[in-house]
Amino acid sequence: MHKLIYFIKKIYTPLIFFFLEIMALYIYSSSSPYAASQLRSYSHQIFGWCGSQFTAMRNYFSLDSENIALNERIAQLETVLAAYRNHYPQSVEAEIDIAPNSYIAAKVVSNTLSSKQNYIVVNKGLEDNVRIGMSVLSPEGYAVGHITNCSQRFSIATSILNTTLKISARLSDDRSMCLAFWDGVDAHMFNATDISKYAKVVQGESVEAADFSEYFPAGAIIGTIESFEMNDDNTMYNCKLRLAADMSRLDNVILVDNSDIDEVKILKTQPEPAVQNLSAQDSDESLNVQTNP
Amino acid sequence: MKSRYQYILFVVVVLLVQVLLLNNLTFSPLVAPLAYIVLVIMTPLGTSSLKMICIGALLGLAMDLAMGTMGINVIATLPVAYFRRPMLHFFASYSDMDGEGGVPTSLRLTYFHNYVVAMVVIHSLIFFCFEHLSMAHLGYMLLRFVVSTAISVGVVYFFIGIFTSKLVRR
Repeated sequence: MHKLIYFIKKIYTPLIFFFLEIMALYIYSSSSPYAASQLRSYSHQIFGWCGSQFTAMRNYFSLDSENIALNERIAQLETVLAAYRNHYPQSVEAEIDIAPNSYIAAKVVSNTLSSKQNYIVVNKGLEDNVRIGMSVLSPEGYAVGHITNCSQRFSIATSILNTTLKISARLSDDRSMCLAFWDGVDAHMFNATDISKYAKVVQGESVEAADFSEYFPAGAIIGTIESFEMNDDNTMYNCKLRLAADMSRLDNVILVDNSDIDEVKILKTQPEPAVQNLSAQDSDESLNVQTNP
Repeated sequence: MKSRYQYILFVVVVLLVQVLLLNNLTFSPLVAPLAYIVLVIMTPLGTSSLKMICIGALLGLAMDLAMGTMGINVIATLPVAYFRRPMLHFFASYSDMDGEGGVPTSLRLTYFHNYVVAMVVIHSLIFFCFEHLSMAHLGYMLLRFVVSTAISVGVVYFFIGIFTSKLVRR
């Protein structure tokens, strides 16, 4: 109570000033319709401007939640698109035979960069239909990692910045195959080796995941060529790539499920006769698709 | 006590001149001097903010009643009176630690003229802005503001000269 009285004592002169000024403005505005309309117009402008500033500020602070919502929406739409691709492969400009078919938006909980074997923890787990082997992409679609372990609510992904990860890749324009990996030195740089010496390597060209990559959907950009040189034997090109995804600012990711890759993996682990049988079934299915569009 | 009578006489003279003479100048619509602000300008330096608010409000109210305007003189005079101390600091480099108070004069204030002109300009600017309330005739409003302010400054200096030389002898 004392504090309140002290506070009022402290501010009573400005209060009186504003009270009298507002009273004078009120009397003046009621003196004529012109003054009333003009003052009302100005007050609307001022309060409108203040309101727009507050709205802009509020929007700024809600960007994070909007971003999450947008990522989830992207994931939903990508899932629908993947379904269309699988049903109408000819109508969609997708040359990918092995197409991902489910997308889940997730938020990065932790992300290490300092180790040679880095990992990413995301806030989606088995409850959210995340499973081991799913690809992890940045919101822009750049390769980031792949899921290696899941709990009910969280998942761990091997980061692309992991020296144990070897990615089957290709040049985006030339389509020449290569092997992409991280050497554990610079978190922004990547390596691509074993590019044919007949390939047309151009600085700035993108390197993307190959069709048969086990970790990423085909076409997921890994990085762009910053420099390249012929190896010692003059048989292959070795390239330095600038990583497409900014791993140090990774906040939201998209988890991509590609069950077709799993099928391919199962096929690879099957004994020889079973592979033949499955191949026969696949060919029958492909015939059905062709004859029954 | 003598000082108080001098102030009362000064207030009466200024109000009479403003109401009977300056408000009735009809030779041009551009001329509308508002010299009564000199009463705020010449209020003793040590006057508290609350007293300044009262002086500003009463002076504005009196002028509104005399001029037949509704609140516009209060709107213009009240901020000038309330913010007189910051304006003294800003325009005249006056600090409360500088002296004992008393009538603001060029002897007490180094930049007294800056203070006087700033007070008159700000008062006139608020008055004419609220009088026009529109950007439609901005040029005319500015011309009226400049002419009236110039005349107001002249009349204010005239009052200050009389008050400081005849009434207040230091």
